[in-house]
Amino acid sequence: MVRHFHIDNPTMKNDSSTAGVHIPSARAIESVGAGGFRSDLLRSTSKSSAIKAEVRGLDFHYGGFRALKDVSMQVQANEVTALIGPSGCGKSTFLRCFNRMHDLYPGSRYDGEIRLYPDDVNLLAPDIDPVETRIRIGMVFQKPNPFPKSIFENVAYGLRITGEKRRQVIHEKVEKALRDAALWDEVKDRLHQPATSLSGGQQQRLCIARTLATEPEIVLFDEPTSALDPIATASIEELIIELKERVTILIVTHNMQQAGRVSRYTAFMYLGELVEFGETSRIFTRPAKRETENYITGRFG
Amino acid sequence: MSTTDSGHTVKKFDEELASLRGVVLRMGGLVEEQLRRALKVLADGDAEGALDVIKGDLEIDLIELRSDQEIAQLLARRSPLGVDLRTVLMLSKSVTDIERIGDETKKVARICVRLPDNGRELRTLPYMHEMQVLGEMVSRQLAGALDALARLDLARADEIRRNDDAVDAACNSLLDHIAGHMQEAPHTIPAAVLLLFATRALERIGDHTKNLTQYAVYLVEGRDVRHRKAVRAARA
Repeated sequence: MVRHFHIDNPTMKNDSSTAGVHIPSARAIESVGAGGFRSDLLRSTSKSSAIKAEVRGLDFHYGGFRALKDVSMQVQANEVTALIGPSGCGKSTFLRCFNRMHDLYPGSRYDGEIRLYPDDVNLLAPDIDPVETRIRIGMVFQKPNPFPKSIFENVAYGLRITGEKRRQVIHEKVEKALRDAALWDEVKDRLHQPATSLSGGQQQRLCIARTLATEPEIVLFDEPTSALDPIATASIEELIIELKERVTILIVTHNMQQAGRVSRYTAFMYLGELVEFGETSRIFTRPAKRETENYITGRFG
Repeated sequence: MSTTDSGHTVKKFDEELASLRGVVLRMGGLVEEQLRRALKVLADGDAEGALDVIKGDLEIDLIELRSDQEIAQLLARRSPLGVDLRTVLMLSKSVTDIERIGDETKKVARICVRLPDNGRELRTLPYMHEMQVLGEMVSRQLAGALDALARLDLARADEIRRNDDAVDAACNSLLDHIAGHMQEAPHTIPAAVLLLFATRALERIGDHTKNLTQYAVYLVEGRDVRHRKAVRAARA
């Protein structure tokens, strides 16, 4: 007997009454998660989930363009949260709100709040010093961007601008940051060589060390491995997983597998909106929203 | 960019998924046909036909190899996610169950070959009609499950799954009858023992058929509805 699948793509359909695929509504899925055993069995033993930051009704404008629309979500402490979505969806814009990077450009406007805990301060409040914010909330960019200085001075830079003058303290903190960034063994004998003498992967780890030196609470990664080969990528991913023991991490990535490998939570953004947020394990196997499903399966186009 | 339900941006991915689905459904169709033939062979005491059924299982084994290869390629090259991942996983598990159904069907055919006088005396046994009814029941279940899988029709899948209890009950009743008649007519024991095995094989086919309906639920809704008893016990 010859059988064919009734529908070519068993993807979600608008009309759930057809003989085809039933679309589970977000609520149906949540109820499975809440009342069902399945998510309980699958859920690994989670440590007590503290909230590091809470975004409330965040709007962001570049001049007249509304780049973020009423985004609300919680960022779990000591976890990795991945931000995914097509180019232009607002994920990098969202990331940059956390450390007030947009303040550097005129015509930008924040509405809403990003509350940082346990202090319970609104990072977007006008009386918050953006420079201090960037020390507490570090950032690592797509392309490694070391300063044209020595390896040592790159890492010491943040410490010096916070007013640290004691040589011994600076030395200790630089070493610790380089160790934390898994770079120490490779550079300890050439700390005074130019940072640009390092390979791409090493430069990126140097940038991570530079960020870690000031002991930030959150580190923002904006596509940190898109310029690296798979081996350097793996070492950065391993580092991210280790770092979450000490800091909270937000990472923007175009690489779905990377989001799957490193993150516990995933936020899918589209056209400036947060479409879906949840545990990565669920988002990648049974997303609740059709837009998420289309994006992660490569059906956008 | 739109959020309409189009195919994949990478068209080849659609082709590969469609090919895999085709292979698995063809395998299902073949096994369904094999079972029908095996049951007829048993009813008719057709030893030659039984050998054909046994030979026919080789093709099913080859299809399993091919689909497993395609599944490995899809996982390695496409890294499927969401509904695609569920589709590949579901098809992969379905292949295993369908292949096992093929094996159980082969057992039924083998029994026909091994029966004294190829089972030509079977007609005189009082439970043979019951066995035929069971065979038809299992056959219908399999056809229904494969349809439900092909159409992703969860209502049908649910109906088939619920019917499995009736299949199990029919099996148990038949086993009782065969055992009872063995005591009454000891000279039928050599044939009866083999028919006990045949009954067991049909029951197993019913179980694999039920698994297929559960995979359909997983594909469509992402819910794993297997092993409910174990899950209830774990929760208690």
